Amino acid sequence: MMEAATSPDYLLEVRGLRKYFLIHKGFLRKLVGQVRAVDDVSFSIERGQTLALVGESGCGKTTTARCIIRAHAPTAGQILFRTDADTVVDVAQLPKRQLRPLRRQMQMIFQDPYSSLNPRKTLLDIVGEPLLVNGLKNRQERVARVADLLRLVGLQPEYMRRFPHAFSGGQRQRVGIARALALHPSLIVADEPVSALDVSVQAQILNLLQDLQAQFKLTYLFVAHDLSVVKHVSDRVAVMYVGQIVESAPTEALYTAPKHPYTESLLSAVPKPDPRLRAQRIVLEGEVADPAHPPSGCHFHPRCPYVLPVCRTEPPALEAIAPGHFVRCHRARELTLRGVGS
Amino acid sequence: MRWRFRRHKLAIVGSIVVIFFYTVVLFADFLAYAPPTESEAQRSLLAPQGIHWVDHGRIDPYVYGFTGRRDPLTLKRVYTLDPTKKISLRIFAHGFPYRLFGLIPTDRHLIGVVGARTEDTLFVLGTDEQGRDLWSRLMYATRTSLIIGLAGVTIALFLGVLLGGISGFYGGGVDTAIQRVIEILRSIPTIPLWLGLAAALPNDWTIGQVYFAITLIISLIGWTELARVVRGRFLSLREEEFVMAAELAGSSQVRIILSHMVPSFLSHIIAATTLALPAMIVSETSLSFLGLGLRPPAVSWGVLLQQAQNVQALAISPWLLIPAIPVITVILAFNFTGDGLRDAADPYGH
Amino acid sequence: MAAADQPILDVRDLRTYFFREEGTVKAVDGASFEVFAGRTVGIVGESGCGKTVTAKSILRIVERPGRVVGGQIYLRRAAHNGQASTVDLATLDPDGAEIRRIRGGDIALVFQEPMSSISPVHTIGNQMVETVQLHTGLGASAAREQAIEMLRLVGIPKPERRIDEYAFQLSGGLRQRAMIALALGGHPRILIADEPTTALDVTTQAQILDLLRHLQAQEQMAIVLITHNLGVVAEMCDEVVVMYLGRVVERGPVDAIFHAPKHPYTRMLLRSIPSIHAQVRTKLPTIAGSIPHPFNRPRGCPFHPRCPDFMPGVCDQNEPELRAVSESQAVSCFLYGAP
Repeated sequence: MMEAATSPDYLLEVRGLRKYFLIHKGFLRKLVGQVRAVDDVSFSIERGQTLALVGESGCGKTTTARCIIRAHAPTAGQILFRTDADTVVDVAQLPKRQLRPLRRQMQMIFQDPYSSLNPRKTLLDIVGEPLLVNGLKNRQERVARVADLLRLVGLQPEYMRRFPHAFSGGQRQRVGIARALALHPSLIVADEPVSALDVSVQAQILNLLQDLQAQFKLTYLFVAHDLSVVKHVSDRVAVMYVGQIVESAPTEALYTAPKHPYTESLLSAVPKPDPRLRAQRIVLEGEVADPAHPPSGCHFHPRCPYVLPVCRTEPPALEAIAPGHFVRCHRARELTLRGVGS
Repeated sequence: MRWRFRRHKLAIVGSIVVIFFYTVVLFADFLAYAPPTESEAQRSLLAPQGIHWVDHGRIDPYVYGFTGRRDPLTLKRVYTLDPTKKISLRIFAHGFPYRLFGLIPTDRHLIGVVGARTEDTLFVLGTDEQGRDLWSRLMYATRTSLIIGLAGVTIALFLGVLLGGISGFYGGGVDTAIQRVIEILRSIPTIPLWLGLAAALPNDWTIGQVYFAITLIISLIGWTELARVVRGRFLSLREEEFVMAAELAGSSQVRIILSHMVPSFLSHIIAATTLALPAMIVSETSLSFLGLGLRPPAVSWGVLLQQAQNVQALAISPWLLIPAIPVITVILAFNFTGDGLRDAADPYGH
Repeated sequence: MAAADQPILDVRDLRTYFFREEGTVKAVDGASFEVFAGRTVGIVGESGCGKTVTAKSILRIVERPGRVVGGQIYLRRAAHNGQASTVDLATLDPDGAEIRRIRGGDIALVFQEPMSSISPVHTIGNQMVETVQLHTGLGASAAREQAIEMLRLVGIPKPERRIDEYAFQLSGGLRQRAMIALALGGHPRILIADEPTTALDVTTQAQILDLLRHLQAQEQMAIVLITHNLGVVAEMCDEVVVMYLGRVVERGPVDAIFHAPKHPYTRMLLRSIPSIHAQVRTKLPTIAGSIPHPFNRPRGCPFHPRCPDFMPGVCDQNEPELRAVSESQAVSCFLYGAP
């Protein structure tokens, strides 16, 4: 329809996305400030691939994801989505009514397997709801389809008359995945899908997500804070800090040769499950900056071990330093940083 | 464990009592045996008459007649029982005519005296100063008070759900405005507000009009609490991920509200309503007790208790305080029921 | 030097059950381990394995309807005359004066959620001064000095100002530091840290783990670290206790647990965790099924329905016991000795 720029290989392209939350205070809710939760974020995902958005709490990764599915209205920017009909639509600008037919093509998997399933509904109602509201009124057909979906995610169809509380966290997460798959979406936004699960169950869900991706050529936007999890599922990784992407690269490159000091310290901070690898860690000073009052210049400069005077005043731009490898750092080209090998 | 069980039991007992009282509301005319306003100066402040159930070895309830005279020294009326005069009672006796449920014309009452002589009378709970039968008046008062409570809570519920729903669902400026109104309303001390409003009612209004006005006045405050409950539930449910999931599935707003949100807080509303009802009843009772609510000839608990304002009157005729018993009973019953419902409303409750 | 070889905390066959209407939950059903001064024991396991209940049992703060029903918890205390004495915490009255002296004095606890464990209506200083006074008998101003010193020790910037703030005024990381300072107020010899970094971001987690290590070296404390994160265990612990459904399935030195695990559960768990050293986009080996609800704990070995080495007729019929397989390592599995 518009913006012919995107190549057909890309399912989603986000350009200059911003989401500011306004802070109101007092009796008359006067506007006193704004939180730049997402501040000029751009990335694209190729069809059938997985992009991981990684960062610590408050970095804006979840807000970005919610803007893309339009649970939040973006403040500015474009979210170009290639529909099943092979047209490109800017989701950011679409009025609510035109959004509905598009919704079936982008679905979400939630973090909390408890609050994401209505405790008063059976699995049949939960997984069947997208089918019902999108025109599958025949109950018989719906039951058959729900049974298929449950089997697909590794649950027995006999469970469909039960309520969510009868299931473990991992099983509930499977139900959530079945619901997301019900309408044959092309894009799935997974917001920390395994971080609430037990370790022994995480691997099952991660593998399931990979199998389903291969089977249905799904495209994932995978939001996570755990860099170990991300390495197992993603083709590209984008690291966020205080509302901005500071580095984005193919997974292998980002892990073995990070170019942003924040990425380096994140990788270093992950506890390695091997007592023989108790290496010297880079322990950052201070805490993640407050997005309501971000530091001047480069947002990371108060914690950066490689800080220069220029970092305090000049905000760096996201620049390509290698094909497909973007970094937001004044010293990206000169620094040699420590990554983790495979 | 034990306290949970006991509280549960209290809720069950409470709900049985509540149902019992509303049965009285339905059958008030039937349970009364004298018209509520029928007065007779000759028998004012008569003590409750004991019913004798057995006569000559058979079950044949009767009361003794009495003679009244005025004490020449104290000028008080003194009643003496007359054991020679037996007044027989009958179940389902004929009495004054009325319409059952406002529809079926009949003159049957639960009990009544046999025969039609004017001196054959029955006063189970005694009489008041004007010689009106307290039992019959209590039946009508129960009807009035409980219906006002119910009507008040209905209006409050309507306002509360509507305004609370709007507030919670739309948020933003509308929400702020409604919340400020609620805060202002709640910051006004209730009694003076009621006094002012009740005193402003024109004196020439009919009972019906006053009745309606009082209901409105007492629901004016009640809705704010319900609005807060509804708004709170809306706000928290709007953030629930299953609501977002339904939205992503393509469900319409109406469907999300009716199918996901309302069922999740319906039980909270029922509980909050049950807890709001006794407050309504107490409001009416206190207003009428202070002489600012319903006024005679209307009969309500408050109106009845107005006669018990005078300590002297109480010392001489303590039975005038009897209407306080149903007030306390019904309020406790509602509170126990509401507590039970509130606990049951939480699907993740202990 | 005999004292150094002896554990300061010796938990033997601890059993803590919850008596619910629906039935008895054996939250901890035979846990044994030892804690030595200046060393860190990690208790690892997934939800429902009983690791938190174990910690609460040691301090005797198990909430109703739970109760310590068996086993011994020996705590060695240094008495004033230099003679060590031993108390069995399992036999103490949970509301008595003695256990209250031990809590915060000999043994301190750091929770996962610092917000809910620091009183919101008192300043951090108030609470710390109170703890310090309770366990040292210092005067108010001396105790305040010491509290400020504690806050400085745990790396809280400008402690003389922070001491008069409330918990909600601090960020997550600072709150956890304040919680640790609060726990250290009575100079405990054992610090039980229950998922101390789970609610924190990775970079903050690294700071807190560093802090704990630093404090341990300085105060010669023993740390009991309760976590589900095997990475944290590998980085922090000397000894590891692996629990599953209320049972200790394996116990040993950290290197043996990670490089020569014996129990099928430990082996599978280590293989199934996502690793930052993995090849990009590789699938992980998984443990089949999910953790059973504690109400329906399987008969025999609780892991048998998910176990790849399940031996029918053995594992589902008999309950394995923790047996030594080497000088320092013990396993509860029939692969290492028939019933």
